[in-house]
Amino acid sequence: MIACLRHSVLILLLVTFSAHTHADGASSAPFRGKIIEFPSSYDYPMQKGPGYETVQKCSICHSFGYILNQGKVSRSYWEHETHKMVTAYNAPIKPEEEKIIVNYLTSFYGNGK
Amino acid sequence: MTGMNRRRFLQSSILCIGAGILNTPAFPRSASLTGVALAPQEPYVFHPPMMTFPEKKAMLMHSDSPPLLETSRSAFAEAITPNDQFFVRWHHAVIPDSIDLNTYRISISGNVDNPLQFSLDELKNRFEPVEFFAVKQCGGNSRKLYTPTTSGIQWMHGAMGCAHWKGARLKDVLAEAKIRSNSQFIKVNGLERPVMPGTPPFQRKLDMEECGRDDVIIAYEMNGTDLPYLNGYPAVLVVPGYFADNWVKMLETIVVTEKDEPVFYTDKAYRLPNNELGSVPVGADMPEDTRPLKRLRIKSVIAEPEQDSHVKKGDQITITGVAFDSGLGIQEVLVSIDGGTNWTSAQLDKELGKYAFRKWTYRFNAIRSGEMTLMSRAVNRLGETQPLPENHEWNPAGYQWNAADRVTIHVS
Repeated sequence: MIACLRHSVLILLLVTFSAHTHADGASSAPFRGKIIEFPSSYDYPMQKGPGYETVQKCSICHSFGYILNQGKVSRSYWEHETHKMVTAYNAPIKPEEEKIIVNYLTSFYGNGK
Repeated sequence: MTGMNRRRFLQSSILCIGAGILNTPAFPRSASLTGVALAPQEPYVFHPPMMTFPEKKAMLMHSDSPPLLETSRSAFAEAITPNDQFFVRWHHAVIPDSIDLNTYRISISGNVDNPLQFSLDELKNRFEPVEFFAVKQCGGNSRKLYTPTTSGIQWMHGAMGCAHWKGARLKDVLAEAKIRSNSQFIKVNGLERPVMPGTPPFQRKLDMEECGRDDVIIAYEMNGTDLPYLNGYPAVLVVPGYFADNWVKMLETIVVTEKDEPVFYTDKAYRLPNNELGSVPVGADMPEDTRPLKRLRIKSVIAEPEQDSHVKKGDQITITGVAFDSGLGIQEVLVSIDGGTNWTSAQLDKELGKYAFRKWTYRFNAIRSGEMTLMSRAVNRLGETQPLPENHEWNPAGYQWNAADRVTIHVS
């Protein structure tokens, strides 16, 4: 926890009056605002097994936190969620990949229903 | 200013190269962020870690990208939620990595006679400032309490907070843009962007009645200071009494429309079944007929004592928390120390404003050993109150949970 805190304090740089220089060397108005550096990716402990590689595609748009956060749920729940990603959010997942993802989620994060 | 969250950009670029790369982790993982270890006997149960992000204390992290950070219950022991503990919820992973006020502009365009582009300084100087306290609460706050599980992030009570907001009235800004009289809606967009081009942008729609409110503001201050970056620096739409999906962060464009143009995050997402309670029978699908999620419902949350805390027999125990509604005002907060059989009025702190958290406190002596179930239930000026948890209705997206709160403690 202390390590995390130190890390985050260091990565926030609040710049109020530092010179901002363009590639051509000309200086524009001094930067006024905020800069953020996001923490490096969290290593979500996803279960290894059939479909693991295909499920990596989910993280194009969102972290695996979105999956683990749901807890154990039914196959129809995972079918609905995965299909919504394709139809509502245009996830680049082919129909055969969608099946692999649902099988993976149901095997490792299913509730037996 | 329009830089991307580099990590996600690289990740998506790599994934576009080909599926072969997917056999290895898409991006090098850093060992610098470590969270709560999984209990070895429960390999499939995941407990979100506590993480620190810029300008934030350690918060419960539901996702690192997009960042989803939950406020601890204990923060609700006060009516004002500090900026460094205020919840964070973005919809898309591409968030600018800097905002330069020299180039940042908010634009008003569409069905107007005087299209505007103004800087933050102009927003502060050209329009009369308005300030007030208001609760911001995510539609999915407390979703974790729905059974069976509903679709979405499983927040407990910490996707809410109350802050003092200062900004310019939206209606003043729209008046300066000379909005045409036949206008029906505005479409509001912020600077976050989806990763995939076909993913709908996080855009929201407000009608003219909402735009005309005196208390709908474009806020540039939160609790007396600049907004934290992750709460939408430098400007956020504040719609008191409404759920947070309307409070567009890192405001970029306002487009005035003559017609009712469909917007995904108003017309497809953040919807409730179109009936009085916004509910369906437990486990049923979302019906065809739906309505947008708008007004907050009356709610109270217990901040202290913590769930499963241990106290000594004979100790004086203080139960404290907050209550709020959509702006009618809290009349009373009832507390039960016997699981809901008997209820007594808690002491209310002074009201900070009709949209603010109202802090409440109740003290009692723990006279018997064993388990005690503490509950809180707010009543507003119309007499509306919270349902008991077992009577709370259900909706497929798990929105607007507002049952009486419940915490168990152990006396020995």
